[in-house]
Amino acid sequence: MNGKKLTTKPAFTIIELMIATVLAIVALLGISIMLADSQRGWNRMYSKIYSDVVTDSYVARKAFDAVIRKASKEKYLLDNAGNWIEVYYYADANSTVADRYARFFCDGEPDGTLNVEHGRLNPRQTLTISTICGNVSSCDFKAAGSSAQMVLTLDDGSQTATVTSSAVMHNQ
Amino acid sequence: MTRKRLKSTGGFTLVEVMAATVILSIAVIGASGYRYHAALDARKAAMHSEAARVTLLLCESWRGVKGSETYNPITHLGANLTVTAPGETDDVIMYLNYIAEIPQDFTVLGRYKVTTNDGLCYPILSYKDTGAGLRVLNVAVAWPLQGQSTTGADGYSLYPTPDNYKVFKLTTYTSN
Repeated sequence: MNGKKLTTKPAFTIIELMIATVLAIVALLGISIMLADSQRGWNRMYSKIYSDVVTDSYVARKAFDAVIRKASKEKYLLDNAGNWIEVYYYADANSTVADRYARFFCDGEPDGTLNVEHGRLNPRQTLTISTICGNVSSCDFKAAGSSAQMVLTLDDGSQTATVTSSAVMHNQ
Repeated sequence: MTRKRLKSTGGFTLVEVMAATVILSIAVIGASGYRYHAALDARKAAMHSEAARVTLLLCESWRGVKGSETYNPITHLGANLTVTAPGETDDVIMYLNYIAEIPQDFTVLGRYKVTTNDGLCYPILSYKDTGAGLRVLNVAVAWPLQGQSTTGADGYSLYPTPDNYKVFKLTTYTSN
């Protein structure tokens, strides 16, 4: 008979290992969910500020404001359905009459574009047509007295933003 | 009889485990609080800029018609912006003068409710004629601090006071 003595080496039991594993899994799962949620929240916040729809809406508002504010309040043309508006302005400080026009219009709603056409009057001649923004799902122009309004809804499929802009025409 | 001696092997004491748990809990609660406030502040900022935009829209539109008493944002913008005239029994509408701190000598043109991208806001338009042919136009827009909801955490209507509502005001002048 072999008289070898059994020694107990310090080690984890299977129960201890299982408990530790379960606890580690729970902790890791919690941390992962938190990280994923943070990332989602960050993405949402980022897209609320910097997404194409939002930045385009700022650009549209600025462009509309800039043109309307320098326009003449004496005359403007507004489409009955509110699809376009045309205002008149002075080309430069030497102009004695409003000799330029700017026409805001939308093309191909939904998923259309907002455009502005600048041109010369007498004789009427188009100078430039620029696209201000895309993803236009609806666009409506209005006027009240010497002010003009634009209610623009942009939709890129994942985000929708309605932007409003109103400006008073200041020039004679 | 074999006598086995209990050996103390390396391990954590209960106090150590509890201390670690407390520290971990503080870290988790801190992170959650930070995230909650970040989201809340972003929402507040969005609502603030939305209200400012509505204020500017109404102010410029009304100024365009020289501050006319017949100006009606509902007929002018209602189709596009969901501008409505809530009933006078609406708590917010009843207290809107108080919330927006409209001066006593201003005549109220109307009180409205506008649904925006980020919630509800309540514009109030008021004016005052000065002696020199000038009309002062005042547009104030109030919105509940809790965003879209006008109901408090207790489930009751959010009491309309300047503490519960934030206000953005614009004043402009127009000549007759």
